[in-house]
Amino acid sequence: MRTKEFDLGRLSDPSLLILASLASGPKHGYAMMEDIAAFCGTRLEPGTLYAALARLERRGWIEALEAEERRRPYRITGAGEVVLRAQLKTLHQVVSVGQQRLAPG
Amino acid sequence: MQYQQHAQKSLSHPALLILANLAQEPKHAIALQEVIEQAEGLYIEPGTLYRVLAELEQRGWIETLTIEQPLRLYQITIPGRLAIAQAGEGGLGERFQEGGHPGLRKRKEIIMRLVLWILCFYPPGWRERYEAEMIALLEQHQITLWTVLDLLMGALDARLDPHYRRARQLLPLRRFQTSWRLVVVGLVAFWIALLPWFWMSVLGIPSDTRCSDWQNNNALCMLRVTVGMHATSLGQTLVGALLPALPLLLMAFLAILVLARGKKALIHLLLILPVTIGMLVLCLACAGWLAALWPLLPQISQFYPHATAGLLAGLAGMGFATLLALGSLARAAFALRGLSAASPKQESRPFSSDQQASKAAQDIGTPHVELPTASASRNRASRVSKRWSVALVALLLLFAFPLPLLVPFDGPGLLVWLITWCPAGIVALITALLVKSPGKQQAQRAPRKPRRATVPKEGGIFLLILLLVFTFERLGQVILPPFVPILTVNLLILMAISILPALIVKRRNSNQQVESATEPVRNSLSPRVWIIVTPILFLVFCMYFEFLFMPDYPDFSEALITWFLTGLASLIILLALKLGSRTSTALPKQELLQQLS
Repeated sequence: MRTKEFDLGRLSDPSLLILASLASGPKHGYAMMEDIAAFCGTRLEPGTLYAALARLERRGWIEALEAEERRRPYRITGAGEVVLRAQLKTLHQVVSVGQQRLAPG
Repeated sequence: MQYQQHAQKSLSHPALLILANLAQEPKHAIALQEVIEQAEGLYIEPGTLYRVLAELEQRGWIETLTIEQPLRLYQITIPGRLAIAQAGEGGLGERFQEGGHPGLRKRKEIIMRLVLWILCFYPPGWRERYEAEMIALLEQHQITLWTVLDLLMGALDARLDPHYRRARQLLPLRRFQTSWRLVVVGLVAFWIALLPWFWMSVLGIPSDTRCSDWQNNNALCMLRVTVGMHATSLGQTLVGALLPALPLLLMAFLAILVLARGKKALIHLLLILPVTIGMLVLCLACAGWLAALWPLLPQISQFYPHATAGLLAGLAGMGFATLLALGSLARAAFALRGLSAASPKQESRPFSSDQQASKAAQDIGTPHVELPTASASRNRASRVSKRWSVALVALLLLFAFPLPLLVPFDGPGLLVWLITWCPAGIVALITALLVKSPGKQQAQRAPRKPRRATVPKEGGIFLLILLLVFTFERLGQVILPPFVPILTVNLLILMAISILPALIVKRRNSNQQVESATEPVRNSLSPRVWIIVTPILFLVFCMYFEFLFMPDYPDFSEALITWFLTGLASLIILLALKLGSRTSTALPKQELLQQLS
């Protein structure tokens, strides 16, 4: 199911969270952290965040926008959206199968 | 500091607005933002909003409701209401602006400094791209121990990332100073490893190795034992054969590299090489000696219970030091290879002296000349290196060959001493001279900025210290009170040989640096780290060996003097590093471009 092309590699969880966070619009680092903390409760640390961010940027799944003062917002790219969709599809499948199997009877 | 500015800039107003809004009813962040924008016409950026919310939450003025919906709902707490009431009297704004308790703020600043320091661990490529925004983020973030660990992990991750590694190796010469530190670390490890060696010399050689008068010439005797002159076992003979062979191999390596041209890397190599050879020899010697002593260790252990551990620790230290030195050697080799790959054949064409002279005249004549072309400067470097390389290789051969073995053991002490140390001194001197020659080129190239006439002075100081140190050893046996240990003297000699050329290079570099436009050094750890770490390491190890391994050490005052002199040695290292800290990590950009064009 998970093809190599869409594989997020190491730091896959933070990467997924970042992509999901950026799906609602461009954000800079701190806003991303807070957004992620708000929607899934995971508080990413800066080191992890930027490790994942750098990877995503290098793969062309997110892109940096013009810096505002010292902060720089990031935006998800078309390729990033495709990856996010693929990942979410996989996750969705995991969720539905898991629920099915957990269901009594 | 930026951090402080930030704390003062953006705290008071939005926080008040948020508190006032939450006092009416619980809201989530986005609703807050909208309400404040509508009511006050103030758009609070998401970053600021979340930061202020986090801060208020941390103070206990607001809290999050347990929720099942995706967005967090914030509500004001009783302390929060009290705070608002106080704000009516004008207290809140001030308290916010001060950023809390002064002690707390101070602590935060220290933490922030630590975090900024950790960012130095990231590779330069990463830092160029992400550092600014990372700092901005960290200023907003609440930093915990976990953040620090996470940053360290991130740094490791980025260091392991081939993307940044490649970026770094494109310009290996830029990392000159880092390599330098590698050498210094190697040196320190080396000196530490020296201690058990000399310690064993204090211990003495077992009687069956026929070093009857070991008390006078213990180090030499050990060498002879090591090399297998007094023993018959095959292993020792092999070690004896390897001992001179390895430096020879290394020197062949050096000769090839020198002929491959490249002045900066040449300096680098020249600095490392004596150290590397010394380390290798000593490592092998120690190993051989350990092998020779192995059967006797149970006996020795009866008197000195930690003998085995001490020897093994020393050996491990030497191995580590040797690896480091070889690593930096390989690094320099890569740098050279990069240079020679980047510079095509044309430089092998001889550059006639007339042309050169006219070029120099041209340089001096016009105040605003462009720098000579890359090939010309490289040509000069190659001429210098070729001229010197022959002499250097010959001298190093002299140094590496275990000359003391040739001296009859009961020969005159002065001769033994001369033959032991003089080649080393000469090598060091030549190194120092060679190291200076690119400096002269520098002067030729930029004649409109006359360089300070420090070179002769430095040379003089160098010679003086060398002489002092040499005499010191000899005098030590005659004049000095018997409690000055020979160990320390030998240590000083080795230090002088290893660090002084380095010192001179650093000095030269710093002079250049004063003249040229300075850029802040970004991609390097603070020299303070070394200033703290080096002497501590040194002293700890001294204590370790002096007391732990030799519980019945004869005299406390002797140990104290050892410490004192070791401290002195550390100070000299520090001086070298301190001078080094004024130089930039990078070569001048133009020079780099020239070298790589």
